[in-house]
Amino acid sequence: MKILIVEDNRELAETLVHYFKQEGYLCETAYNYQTAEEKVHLYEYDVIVLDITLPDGSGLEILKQLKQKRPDAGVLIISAKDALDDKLNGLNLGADDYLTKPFHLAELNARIQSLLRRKRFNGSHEITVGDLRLNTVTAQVLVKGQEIILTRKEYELLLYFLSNRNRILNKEAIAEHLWGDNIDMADSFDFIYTHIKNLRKKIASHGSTNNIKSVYGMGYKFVAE
Amino acid sequence: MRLITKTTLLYLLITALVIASSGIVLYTITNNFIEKRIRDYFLRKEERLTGYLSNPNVDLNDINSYKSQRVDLLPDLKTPLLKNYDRDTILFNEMEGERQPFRARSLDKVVNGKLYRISMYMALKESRLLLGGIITSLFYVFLALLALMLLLNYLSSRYLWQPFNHTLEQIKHYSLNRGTTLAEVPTTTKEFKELNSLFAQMTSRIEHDFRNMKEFTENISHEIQTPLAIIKAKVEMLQKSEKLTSEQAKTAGAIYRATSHLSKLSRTLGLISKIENQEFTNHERLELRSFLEPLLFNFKELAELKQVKIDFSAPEEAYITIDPYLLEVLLSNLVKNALSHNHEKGEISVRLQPQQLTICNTGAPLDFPECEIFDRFRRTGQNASSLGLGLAIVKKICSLNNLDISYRYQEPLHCFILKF
Repeated sequence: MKILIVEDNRELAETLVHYFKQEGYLCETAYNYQTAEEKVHLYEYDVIVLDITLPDGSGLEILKQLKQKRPDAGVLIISAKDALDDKLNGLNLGADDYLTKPFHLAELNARIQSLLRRKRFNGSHEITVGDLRLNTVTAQVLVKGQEIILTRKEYELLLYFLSNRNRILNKEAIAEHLWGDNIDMADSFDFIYTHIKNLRKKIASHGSTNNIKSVYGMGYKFVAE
Repeated sequence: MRLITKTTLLYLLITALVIASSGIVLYTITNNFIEKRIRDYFLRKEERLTGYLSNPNVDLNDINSYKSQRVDLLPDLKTPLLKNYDRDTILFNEMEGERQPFRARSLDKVVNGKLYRISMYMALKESRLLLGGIITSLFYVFLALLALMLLLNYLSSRYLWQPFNHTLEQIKHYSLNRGTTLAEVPTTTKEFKELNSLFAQMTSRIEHDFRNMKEFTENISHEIQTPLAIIKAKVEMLQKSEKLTSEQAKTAGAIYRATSHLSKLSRTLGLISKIENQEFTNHERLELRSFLEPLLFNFKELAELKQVKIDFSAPEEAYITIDPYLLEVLLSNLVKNALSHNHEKGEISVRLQPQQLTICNTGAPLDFPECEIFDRFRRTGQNASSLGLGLAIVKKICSLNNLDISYRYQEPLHCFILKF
């Protein structure tokens, strides 16, 4: 798995590289337009994480060139611009997803994984973790071969946990993942608690050993056995 | 009243005064001239008649055969009684066959020891006609001036003032963010040239300032969001570390929450300045129910978790003309507000009428004056994570779109009434 991170802020780029290396991805970085352009022409990447405001050019230009050369390349735009026009512009040019800064690393990871699942459809639309099986096309969840019925939010929550297994997810990231910008109220964390409680119950009902653990003061963690 | 009409009226007033006074002067001069001619005529006639009368064998009948004079012998009187007695009278003019005004002078005169009463008449018709003619002609002059003024008025508003009206029209339709370019009207009028150049200068200055401000807000949001992204990512990495003590984990959590809050705040303030800069001008006539239903559906789950009942009634269709994005923000902020300031097992009622939307919710009474509810950063003590900007945005959107939003507390309900 090869990822190119195009981001002019070195600090942020390095953090992303560090994060994705732990994930087991091969990471390369480009800090400016010129390097990014070169790398895009020379090598092939599974996913390109692209910042659109670069010191010597626009990421959208790279996106255009890339799409002409290899229309199937996965591109995820990260930008501080959150205007609807910018998003539509990026997506119209062929980007697969758009994430506004500042984002949660877990969210970026979940989006990249879902992007990869969509790109390579050969079987990878099923995620298997221990005795849990989740099909991202039919949205079916099987525990030890038996289907459990989840609400939409519970399904999304589980998928988010599976994408970021064995990693602490804080409540803010979960809340934003589930409800987007609509959620900026303190009691939204109680909502998360309710959802997690129900999800745990449903998974445990068939005797699965996989479970969601609370990490005191920080958030939750999906522990895969 | 239009400037040109005002000028015309003023001009006509002055013209009327000038014409009236010149009429008076002309009348007086002519009148004096006529009076003098009458006096001279009477004096000469008197001399001539005295000459006749001094003739020893004077024939009064011969003298009286002229209609313009009459001499009577006054045998009973010894001393003259009348001395130049002048009067205006109406007499029959045989020559012209009609009654006409005459000036008459009567006087008593002693000639050769006999006392005569002499009366002389002079027709006034011509002089009266002359005076009348003067007044009439002045009246016609005034009428002609009036017509001329009206014509001038029409022509100047049509041609002379056209560049001005054009400039006015441009100012009326001028909009900053639509980037309207100003079409110059060629004009040779100095004042309008000046006006146009000042207007162009002013708009370019405003546009420059506006662009600067917009750039500033865009930059500030961009420049703040990137470092915030770094802080967030770093803290997330830190939280992953196994070696973290619970005390350190708490600190990291606090940093994370503060960062999220800051990022939301700068984004929301950015949204407010975008609304203020009128960047959302995509006015459309929208059906409110089709907007409210999916929105309430999105909130349904959150409401259920809090066991809040949402009661939605929309007996009739209601339309509103606004930018769709702004309507989305407006409605979701109102519903979000109704939900987040609600208590467990509370209620929200959303009632849509043709000209009005009422959103009421149960909840604790306000701990600040009612009138401050739409102020920025005004929030109740218990809800620390709320930005306190939702209702400020609502207010801003309403005032920029000429919508009326009001708040009323009707125990136990907090009601927001949106009129459109």
